[in-house]
Parts: sequence; C-alpha cells; structure tokens
Amino acid sequence: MIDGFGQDWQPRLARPVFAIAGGVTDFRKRHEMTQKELVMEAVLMAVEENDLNVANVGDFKKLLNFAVYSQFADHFGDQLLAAAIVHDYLGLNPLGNIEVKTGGATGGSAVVSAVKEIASGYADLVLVAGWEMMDEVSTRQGNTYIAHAACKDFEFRLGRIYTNYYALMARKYAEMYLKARGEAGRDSMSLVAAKNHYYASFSPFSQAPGNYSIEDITDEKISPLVADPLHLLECCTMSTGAAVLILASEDMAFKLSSVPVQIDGIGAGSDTMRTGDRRPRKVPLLPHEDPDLYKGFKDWPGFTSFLATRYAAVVAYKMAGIQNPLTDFDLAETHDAFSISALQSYEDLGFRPYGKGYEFIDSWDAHLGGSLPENLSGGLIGTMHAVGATGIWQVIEVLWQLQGKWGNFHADPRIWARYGKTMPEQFVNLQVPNARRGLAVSHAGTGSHVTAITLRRS
Amino acid sequence: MGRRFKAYRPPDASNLRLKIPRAVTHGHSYGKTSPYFRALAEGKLVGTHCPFCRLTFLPPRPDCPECWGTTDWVSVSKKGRIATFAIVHYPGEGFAEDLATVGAELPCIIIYVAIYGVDTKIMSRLEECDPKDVYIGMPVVARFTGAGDGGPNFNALDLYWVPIKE
Repeated sequence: MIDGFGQDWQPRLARPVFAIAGGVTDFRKRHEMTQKELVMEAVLMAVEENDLNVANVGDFKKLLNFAVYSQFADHFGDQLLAAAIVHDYLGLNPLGNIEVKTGGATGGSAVVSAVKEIASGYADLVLVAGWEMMDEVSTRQGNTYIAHAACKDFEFRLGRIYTNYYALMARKYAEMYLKARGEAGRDSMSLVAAKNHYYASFSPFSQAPGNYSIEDITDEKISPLVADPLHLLECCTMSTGAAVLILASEDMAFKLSSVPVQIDGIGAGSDTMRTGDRRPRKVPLLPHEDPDLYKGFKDWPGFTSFLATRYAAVVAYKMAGIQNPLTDFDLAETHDAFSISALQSYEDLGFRPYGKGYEFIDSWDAHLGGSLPENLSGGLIGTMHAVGATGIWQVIEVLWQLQGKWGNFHADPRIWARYGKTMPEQFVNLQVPNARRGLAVSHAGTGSHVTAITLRRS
Repeated sequence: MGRRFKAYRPPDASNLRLKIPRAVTHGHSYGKTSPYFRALAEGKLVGTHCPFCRLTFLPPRPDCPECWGTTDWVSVSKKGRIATFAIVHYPGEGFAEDLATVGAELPCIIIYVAIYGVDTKIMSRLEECDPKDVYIGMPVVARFTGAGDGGPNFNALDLYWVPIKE
C-alpha cells in the first residue's frame, strides 16, 4: 500500500483524444452467434450508423492505425487469443493490436489504453472492441468461472459466486450506514435496482428490463435470495454481446465527425484482491471535500468503500479539472454489478460523502431530471454485463448522450425491430437535455481495479 | 455512411451447438503458503508476521507487501469476532458438492473474521449456528475439518468457526 497519492503528480494527456462513434449488439443470455460475428455486428453499427464522414468500410479501414480488444475470461469463450480471431475476421491485419484484461474493469481499461495510444501520438484512429460469450455454460457454472476472479487459495471455494463477496460488503455497509434508518435504509438499495430495471425498459439492447416496485426487489417469490442480503433482481445480468468504440485524434475526429466528444480525463486505481486484506488508511480527498470531513473515520475503506474507485476519481477529476462531480457532470454511468456496489460507488465518486450514498438515490438526484442522472442505460443490473464489453458500452452510452443522439439508438422502432422487440408504447425519452459532461466508471473484483473516464462535448 | 436496417433474424436455433466436456486436474502448488494448509490439517492456525513493519497477515503472506522482506510464521489466536457475514443460498457450480465433503450444507454462512492481534481479516465458514442468530461482532472460535470429518482436504474449507459465549 502506497501512501501520499502522488500529490505532485499532474496526470495529463499529451494531446487531445476524442470519441466519435459507438456500436453494440443487443445483450441476452444466449445468442446463436460466435464472438467474432457479434463484434462484426457492433462494428457495423459503429462505422455505419454514427454519421461518420467516410464513404465506405474500405476507406474507414485505411484510416485505422490500431485496435484494442477486451475480453474478461478466456474460460467463457473457451478460446485463447480470441483477439487474433476477431481482428482477422474484421480484416484488420497487419495493424497492431492488444487484448486488455482487468476483470470486470476490462472494458474501461481497454478504453483507457486506447486513449493513451492516441494521446501518445502513435495512432490517429483506434478501434476498441469488447465482448463476452457467457452462453456456452449454465448460469451456475458461469458464476463459478467468474469466482475464479477471486483469490484461488483463500476465497474462491467459499461460495464460488461473486454475489457472496458483495453480500459480505452489503451486510457491513447496512450495519454502518443503513440500519439506523430502518426499512428506509434497505429501500435505498432496492431503489437502485428498481431504477435500473426501469431505465432498461427504454433500451432496445437490454436483457433485464422491468417495472418493479421497491417491495418486488426483496420479494422472495419474484426475486429470491442469492446470497443474503442480496436478492436476484439486485444482481447484474450474465450476458452475451459486444461493444465497439472508435477514438480519434483531434484532426481525425473533426474530419470524420460533426460532433466529436473529448475524453478529457482518465484515471485508474487498484486495491487488494481480497477485501479482508484492506487495512485502515486516510481517505484521499476530492476537490469539493472539506479536509475535516472524514476526521472520525477509523476503518476506511474497510468493507464499505473502494479505494480503487476513489483513487481513479482523484486522478481523472484532476486531469479533467472537475471541481464537484455532482454539479460538473450532466450524467454518469457507474458499475452497478450489485445494488450495494452502486451505493458504495456514489460515495467513492464524491456524489455524496461517505455514509450518505443513499441520499443520492433517495433524493432523486440519480434519476432523469435530477442533478446527476445515473445509469440511464439501465446499467449492469437492467441492461447487460457481457463483461469485456461493459466498460466500452458505458462510454458509448455517455457518448451518445453528449452527442444528443440517445434517441437515434434507443427511440427508433427500427432498432427495436432489429432485435425482435417492440418499442414500448409508454416510451420515456431519456436524453439528458443539453448534456455536456459525463462520467463512466468500470470496476473489477471487489474493487481490485477501477477506471474512471470523463467525457466533454466541446 | 448511411444506416442499413437489416431485417431481424432471431437467434437461429438451427445453428449447431456442440457439447464439449471439460474435466482436467491441475497440480496446483501452494508454494511458500504451504505451511498454512499443513497447519490446518494439524488443527493449528498460523499466519505470517513482518518484524520490521509489525504487521500480522492472515491469509498469510510469505513476503511482506510493504518492505518486501521475508515474514515469519507465527501462531495466531483461535478466537475472533465476525466482521461481516453473508448467507449463500445459490452458490456457483461445485460449491454444494465441495461442502458435502466436509459434512456441511446449504444455506452456508460465510464470514469474515477479525482475529485478535491480526491486521487483516480472513474469509471462512460459520457452522453450528442458525442463520437467524448470526450477527456482526459475534465471538467465534476456530475449528478444523480433521481426519474423520471428511478432511483434511488441504484447502480453505478445512477451517471453519463456531459461536462461543462472550
């Protein structure tokens, strides 16, 4: 553990980087497609449906300099070096490419890595593609595969499911911060889940849309306990699908797009693999936090907070000049693998002080019309967690919002029809009016790796 | 480029899906952590201690993450308190079978234990306790799955805890 947080370090990008296009598949437990075919579907949407100023696929490919691929677990696809197969299938040889792996944060790390490819001057146009094939095995076996991302010798065998590892944190968090508020405390967790299933109803890509009441989330008949205190509807989906993001240097971005969105901050953080190994330390402060705010904190981060998320936010906010995330950002996509991890992240990201994360959801700040609408995409609970694609898809959802294009990809009946779905009659437009700045947070393990990416429309 | 709205094609159930069985055995070495699992088999609980940083680790770390020096093996208390707990109803594949080898069953109470004198917390199981009775701060004592109880298996399931009076 390193103290001091490099206060003298001023992280920066050597030249500006822009996001210009995104594409996704729909997400479901089972597609009858291979991983390379899923990526092809997402890349077609990215290149053909984002109003890019290129004549055809061939012209686009001629401009491309590098590709970054993102897949969480070779176990799922049962194919090592799958990136080579995808790259080959897209016809991108002999371009250089890499595959990035940081657990649940793999997608975010892939975007961060691609940003650096451009900022360094190596590349002007980079493709970021992520996917996960979670449909070759049963959900139960899938959970065991995911649990292999816990400490093999000391924790994997204890439950073989990540819901357990988060339930341990949820119990402690509830004891410290929710219990005193009685049932209302538990309701804050349920509201996170209900909100995200609800917003997923307006995404043609979503796997688990639903209009649930707060009571439904903890109703054993509708939403059985997986690992007490976490119920099924509070857990992310197990998804198959792909996401593709296209990043460009400034000249290239304005050549290809009329609405490029700058990636003006990136940050990454880490913490111990095992939650129980986290020894007490001082809370690194965000710009809007008073130095005395956490004076009485004796056991931070403990089981209730993520040092990696806080550190990633410190770095990304510093780079982007964010003073107060709640007011500076117009929307955020956080990694709601579980209802509890959303509440924890609200505090790590500075939307509310530690211990007060529930206020962010209870106050309606997290909803459309609130100060900082969060996971309008439906999040991981409502829409998808095809792990390697997740962090990329989050950035794409923020990109479309900042471009004012949310409707193009969500409110067009033809998109719904593409996936055999009908656009809901009671449709709610989730475009944040005049959104200018957004945040996307990708998260692994019980907080072993986290990335924070900030976007700004010029 | 313009958008091409291709007609919807539902997941094609006629696409072939081949069943590929997997059964492999890994010869996994515990490396320098081996003394911990040997001790469990003898009913002992040990951790590692860094004399320079004055930190005691359980799970043990044979190398100190702070100073990168070699740590010493030390006995640690078999008494602790529950730092937090969860009750697993729906585990991943293989857990129920694994539990059965040590005579335990679902739902399973998983705990993090704070042990006196240890700077980290260890994840383990709580047995001989109704899930309704467990609470944060509950005093517990270590037990071991030895010969005759289906163990030792030389894995994390060899250790479990039971409630004791204050």
